[in-house]
Amino acid sequence: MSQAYKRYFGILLTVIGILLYIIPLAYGFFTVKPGEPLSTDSWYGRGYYISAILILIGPALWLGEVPQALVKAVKAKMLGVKGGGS
Amino acid sequence: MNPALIALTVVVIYVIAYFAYGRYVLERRVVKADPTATTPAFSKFDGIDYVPANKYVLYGHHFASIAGAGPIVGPAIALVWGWGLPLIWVLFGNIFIGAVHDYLALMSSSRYGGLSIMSISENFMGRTARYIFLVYVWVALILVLAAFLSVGSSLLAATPEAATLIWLYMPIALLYGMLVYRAGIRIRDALIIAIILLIIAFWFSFQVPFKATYHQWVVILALYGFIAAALPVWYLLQPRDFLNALLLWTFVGLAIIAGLTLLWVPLTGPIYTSFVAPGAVLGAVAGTEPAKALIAYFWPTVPLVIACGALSGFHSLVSSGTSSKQLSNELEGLLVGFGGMLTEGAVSSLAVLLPAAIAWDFVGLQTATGAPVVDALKAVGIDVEKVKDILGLAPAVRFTTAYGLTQALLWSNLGIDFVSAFKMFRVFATVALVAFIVTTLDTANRLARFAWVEFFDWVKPRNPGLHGILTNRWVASAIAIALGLIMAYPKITVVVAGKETTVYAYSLVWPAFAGTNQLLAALALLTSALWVYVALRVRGLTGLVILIPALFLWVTVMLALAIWLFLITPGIPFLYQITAGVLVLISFLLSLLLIILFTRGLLRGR
Repeated sequence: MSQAYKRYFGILLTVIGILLYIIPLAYGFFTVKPGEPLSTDSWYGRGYYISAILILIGPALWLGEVPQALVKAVKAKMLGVKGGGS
Repeated sequence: MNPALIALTVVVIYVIAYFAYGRYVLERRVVKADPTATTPAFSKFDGIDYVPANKYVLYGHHFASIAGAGPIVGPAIALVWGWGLPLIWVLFGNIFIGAVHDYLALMSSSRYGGLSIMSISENFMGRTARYIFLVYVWVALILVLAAFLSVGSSLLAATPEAATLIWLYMPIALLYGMLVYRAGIRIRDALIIAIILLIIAFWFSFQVPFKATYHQWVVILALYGFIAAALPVWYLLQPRDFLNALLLWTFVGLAIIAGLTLLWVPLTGPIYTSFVAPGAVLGAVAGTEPAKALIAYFWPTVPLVIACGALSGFHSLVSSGTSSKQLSNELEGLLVGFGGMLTEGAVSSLAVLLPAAIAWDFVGLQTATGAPVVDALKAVGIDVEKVKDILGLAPAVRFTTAYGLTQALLWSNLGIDFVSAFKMFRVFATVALVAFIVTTLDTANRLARFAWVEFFDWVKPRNPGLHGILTNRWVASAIAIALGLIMAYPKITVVVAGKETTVYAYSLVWPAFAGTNQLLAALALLTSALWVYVALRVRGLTGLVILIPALFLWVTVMLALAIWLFLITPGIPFLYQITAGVLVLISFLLSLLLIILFTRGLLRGR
């Protein structure tokens, strides 16, 4: 998968994940008596329990490369070191 | 005896141990930690597993990964011996064996480029030892995955509020990481945002508790474990575990505050019951003769019962697996390896003291305090007519219930309704427990991936293409968790004491896990002892402080395995004999092989 497609796919997964996440919680919050459990048997509940998985993997595809701040910190340390670690 | 005074003494002992034994003896005289040395996190930086972490972040990761449910469940089971002996073991075992074991595994791995303790053993015990132990560890990790999938799913299915909160917790952790690493927001500012979101999430979880079944959770947690173990550590693991550390300290801090303000609550649990308990404590199958027989002698069986809080082989895998690959500076190893384990000892001490001190006898507590303890218990489905004291509850529930009652006593003094406070803090304790279980789950899968990759290093020079496929992080992640899922999902019918009963597949092997885990601890400590003796050339009295605990541990584990093999195995159902029994037999034989290889290594290194 090319980088661009990977990004779009990641964004798509993230958006679907957020929708699956928010809709059941919002629906439950406004319609169900507070404290009464929502169930995965309900129509709005089915997607909820896979939503966090999508939210987990979506941004990883979208923003997956190592942060530059981290790379710079490692480079700076390696340039200033005196020897190996073993 | 005053419970708050005991808790305070325990905390003082841990603080003294950290500085006097940890810093002065282990860091300065044994390991001779060098702040200028380049750690594998820098020298082998790959942006996925080898990534330097802030010391507090790494401390949080290390603690949350080694904690799991162990520091709470083990001591809760060990209350059958009273609270005195388990507390002594948690203190003694933790400081002189467990924390030494964790710290040395971390530092030796850091000196050997982030290799696991199993691969390091090759340097002192030979190549055969390395491959045998890599396979043994991989199998043990699959068992851990199955058990944590099962325990985590049971808790989430039983506590819908915790399920909502834990599912909100992950994206908040992700967001926190993004704010720090991507948006460049200062750690403190990002933390304030994360804490506000977590407080809202906590409130929200009571408004919309989410109910899913055990089997739905098993599949979801397996998917989570698969993905989380293959993702780069900076993406989820580091930010989440930093939040985990905060959760932990809030959890412990509230317990300490409650302990200090409840000076007037009498210590109701017995300090000592008996030196010998029924075999069920050792994992003998419920309903069988060995489960009822008095064969669980406090020593040598206590290390098999109280693992994480005092000593656990799994910790050496974390130390020499994920933690050593993120260590930024050798001087930070003490806080992470030694300090992380002492913190776990403190949690375990609480797990011994809270139920024993505050909530052993429910009616007695109600009489002594005047608080509506019975009503509060009834509100969460605990009938005091049937469950008279804390021992009548499942081990994990003993702690969450005792924690909830302790907090309710504290907060009801400030005007909050006792029953509401009890329910809220019971959920909070469950969330803390589940957060550690979920962390241990993905760390265990990552460790299984490391063991798998290290095992197949011999393929690389022969067939680099095949090696690339076998050691691909997604492939290696999927294999272990899939096997864990297969063991945690289905139920199997077993005949126990003439009655048909259904159990999850993994539970056929699980009774043997305690022995497997502590054999790993013996392997890690003996390897570390050889590293100290042969490679670091530490001799004399300082060398003995490592060697003696290592040998003491080996003898203890060997005797405990012998009890399991000769007193428990003959009396359990056939299906258990060919699963758990065989695993104990393999562990017993490996233990013998281990001491031979250790002696040879010691003589060669003189």
